[in-house]
Amino acid sequence: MNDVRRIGPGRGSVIASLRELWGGRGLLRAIAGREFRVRYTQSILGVAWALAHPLVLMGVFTVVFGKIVHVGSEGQPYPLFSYAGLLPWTFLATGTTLAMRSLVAHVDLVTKVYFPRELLPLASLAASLVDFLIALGVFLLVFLAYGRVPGASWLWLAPLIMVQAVLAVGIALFTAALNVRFRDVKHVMPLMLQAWLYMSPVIYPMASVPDRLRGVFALNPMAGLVDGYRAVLLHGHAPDAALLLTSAAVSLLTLILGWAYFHRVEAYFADVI
Amino acid sequence: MSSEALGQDEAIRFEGVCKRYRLGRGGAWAGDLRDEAGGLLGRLLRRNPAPPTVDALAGVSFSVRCGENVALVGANGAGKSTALKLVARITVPTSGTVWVRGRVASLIQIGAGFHRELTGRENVFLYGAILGLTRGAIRDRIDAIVEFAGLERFMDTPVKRYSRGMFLRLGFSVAVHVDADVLLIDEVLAAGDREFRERCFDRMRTLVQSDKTLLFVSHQRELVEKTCDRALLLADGRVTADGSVADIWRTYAAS
Repeated sequence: MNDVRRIGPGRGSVIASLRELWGGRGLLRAIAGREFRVRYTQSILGVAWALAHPLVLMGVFTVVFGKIVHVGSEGQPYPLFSYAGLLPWTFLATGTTLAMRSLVAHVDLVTKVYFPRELLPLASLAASLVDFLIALGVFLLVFLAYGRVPGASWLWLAPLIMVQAVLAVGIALFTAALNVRFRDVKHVMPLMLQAWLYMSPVIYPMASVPDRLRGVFALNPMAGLVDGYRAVLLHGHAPDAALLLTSAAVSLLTLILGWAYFHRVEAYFADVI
Repeated sequence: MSSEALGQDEAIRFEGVCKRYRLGRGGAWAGDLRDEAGGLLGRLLRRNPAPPTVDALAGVSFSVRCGENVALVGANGAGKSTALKLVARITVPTSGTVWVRGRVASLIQIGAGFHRELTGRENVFLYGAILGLTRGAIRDRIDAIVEFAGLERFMDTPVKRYSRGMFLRLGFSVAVHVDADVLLIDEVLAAGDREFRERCFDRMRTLVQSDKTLLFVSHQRELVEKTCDRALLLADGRVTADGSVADIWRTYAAS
């Protein structure tokens, strides 16, 4: 009559896990919707808080690096230049931070109900993706306010968003699973993200990276993404192909390794958390 | 999936199931980095023996037929909840195998996943999804769920304004409207006022008479006798007796 399930020691097959993950998409929507709504209930500004992070950083960067230190901005107004870079960065930083905490934050669910565990970090990222899209809408308004008009190159946003999502999911799955076992992760991660921000061309243009460091820099998946966003949004041309492909490859590898670790340890989450 | 290991009319089977937990801060698996590093060092220096463990289940075998309603009886720590958690797939056995047929709904903690800031209605959809209902299925049942809970006036109020009784009533209403073949129930009816408990009783009786399989952990003798046709007595992670509810309860009371 029905499917028979075997529950034994160790982990299930990869195919079965992926099928189950697909079956859980309704629940993903429910949890992501909850995350999004809960985050802004009882706050006066509500969804406007989604914009606070990139806007405040844009303001600070513009004053410090645009007016005081005079970092190059590829001939663009510094606010536009930094905001374009902050778009993927903010999504990655806030999304993965929330996702990293997601399993531990839902102890009651993890220890009392079964569902594909990936759904919790994925839901955090989905909610952050909505924030990202709102921030992108605001970028459009600022862009228009500067008297500029979006061109066909903006269509490149679709693959860029896909690459950043793949990267974020990989990091989210790995850090969320690791945080179940080692709570040290929640202390280490903000530090790592801080360092990563400075190592990525968010504040400064990719062009100011010395040639001999460029190869190493390109391995940072955020380099291709940030540079890609600027090419597409500000310069009206396609992203640097080599840079973006490197980004995509590293992101995919991150996803595979991140999920492999998650899959290896998820059976014991409820025992350890 | 193969079903050769489970007979046609079997819903659940435990085959030599062990579940071992490591004692101390680490749980079954590990602690924080400091514990881990310290433990490793200790093992290298052959100072620390293997950490102490406890077998929540120590070789449990039994089988439940489809539609059967089985109570797990025993003292705290006998392994009842661990057995439910294995069937629910919340955790995996250390050794042995559990076979389960069909969809499982674990009502192990009523209202797990409710969010205080969300309204009653929003929480019904969320909790329903957690218990495996699709959005459409919840929409079809929401009137029945709300009516059963008797909370028509409060559905658009955040559940943080609910009393504990209201909270549990809403959770239980969603739970009893799930669509599953195997229901796992862990001491949930202790909540609510007399009138609501009566309604839960009735609902339970309907579930009991249906073809659903129930695995039930409870210390309430009256409830167990009304709902279950068989009981297993667990002690120290082993099944020590298997029989009618009345017999098992007598053995349990005497032990």
